[in-house]
Amino acid sequence: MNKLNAEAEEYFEELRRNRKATEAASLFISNILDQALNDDEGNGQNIPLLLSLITYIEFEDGEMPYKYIGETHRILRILYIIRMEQKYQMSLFCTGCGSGAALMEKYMLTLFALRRLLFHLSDASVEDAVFYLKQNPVSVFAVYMMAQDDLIRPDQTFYQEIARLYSTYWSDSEQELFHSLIQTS
Amino acid sequence: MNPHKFCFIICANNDLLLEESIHYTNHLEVPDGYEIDLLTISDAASMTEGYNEAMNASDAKYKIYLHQDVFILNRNLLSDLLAIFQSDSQIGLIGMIGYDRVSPNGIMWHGKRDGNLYLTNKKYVYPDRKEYVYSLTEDGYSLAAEIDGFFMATSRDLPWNTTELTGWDFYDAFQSMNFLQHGYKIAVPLQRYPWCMHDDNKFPNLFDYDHYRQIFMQTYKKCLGKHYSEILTSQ
Repeated sequence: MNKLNAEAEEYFEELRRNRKATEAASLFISNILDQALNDDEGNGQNIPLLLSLITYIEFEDGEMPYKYIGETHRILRILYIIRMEQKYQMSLFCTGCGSGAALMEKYMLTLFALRRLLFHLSDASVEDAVFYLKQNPVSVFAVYMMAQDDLIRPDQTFYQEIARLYSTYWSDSEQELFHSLIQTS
Repeated sequence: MNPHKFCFIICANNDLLLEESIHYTNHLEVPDGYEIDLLTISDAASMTEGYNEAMNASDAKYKIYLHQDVFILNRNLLSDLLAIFQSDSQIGLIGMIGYDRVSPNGIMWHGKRDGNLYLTNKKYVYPDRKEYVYSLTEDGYSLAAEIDGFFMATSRDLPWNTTELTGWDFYDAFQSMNFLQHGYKIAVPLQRYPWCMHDDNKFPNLFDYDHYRQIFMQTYKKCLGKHYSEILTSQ
C-alpha cells in the first residue's frame, strides 16, 4: 500500500502541475476539430488539418489530454477511422459533420445503435438501431474499430449481422475487407 | 413514502447519454404491484445537491442513483434488488461494485473489489440477456464499506452531504460512510455477468478528485483502513 500511496500522491501532484496545459491542449483539439470540419476556405472540410491532430495527440501537447481526459481516446479513435477511410478512398466518417460536437454525436449515436443490435433489448429497439445504421451508414473501418475498442465485445454473430445490414452499402471489396478484419479479431 | 415504487435519479449534462441510459431502464421488467419513476436533474450545482433535490421530490421507497453513462443490462434488476433489500431490513444501500474495507489512502479502487463490471479488455463477450439470472440463495451478495457511485440503490433516504461536497467527486464514498454510520449495511450482489455497462470513456476525469479525497480523509480519519464490520459495530 505504501507504494500505491506514493504512486497516487505522485499522480495527483502531476495532475495539478499539468492541469492548465492539459486544458489548453484539450481546447486546442476542440478548436482544430471545429475549424477543420467547417473550413470556409476549403470545400467544407480540411481533412489534412483534421488528421494533423493524430500527431498532436500521439507525440505533441495532445499527449496530456490523452492521458487525463477520457474523451480524447474517442477523438483519436475517430481520427484513426477517418485516416483509414481516406487511405482506402471510402466515404469519410466526418462527412456531414460541421463541428467537433456533431462528429462526436454521430460517433455516439452509431455506437449506441451497434450496442442495441448486440443487446437486443426488444424488437423495437433493434428496429430503431437498424433504421439508424441504414440511414447513416458507416464504413468497414468505423464498424470494426468501434466494435474492437468501445465496450462492444463483438462475436461473429454480431459481425455477420452488420455485414448483412450493409450488404448493399458496402462494395464487394469492402465486404471482403470486413471479413478479413473480423477473421483476425 | 410509497413502498411499491422505484425512482431512478440521474444528474445529467449530456442528453445523448441520458436518453440512451433511459432507453435501457425502459426495458426493465417491473415487478408486479410496483411502479417506476424517473427524475433527471440537468442543472445541479453539484452531484449531492442534485441528488438531494430529487430525493426530496420523490416518494419512492427505493431510489436508484445512476450515472448518465450507465446502461442496465440485467432486465430483472428491480426484482433482484428487492430480493436483497427484503432479505435483511438492515441493508440500506446496494451497489454494483464495492470494497469491503475503506482504503487507507481514500482511493476506493485501491482496495479489493467485489461485484462485477465490464471493462475495456475483452475477457468475455456479453451473454444473452436471458442468461441474467440471479438467485439470492445461490449467488448472494457481499457486504461492503464503500460502493462506486455509478450505481447506488437505496431503501432509506439519508441526505447527501452538500456542505463539503460541492463538486462531482467522492459523494459515493461519503454516502457509503453515512449509511454505515447510521447502522445500515451496504450490499453488492454477486453478478455472474455485470448487471450494468458503465461507459465512462475508459477513465473518469480526476482533476478535482484529490481535493475531495483530502476532505474525505480528514472527515473519516477514524474509518480509513477499516473493514465495514468495524465501522458498523462501532456506532
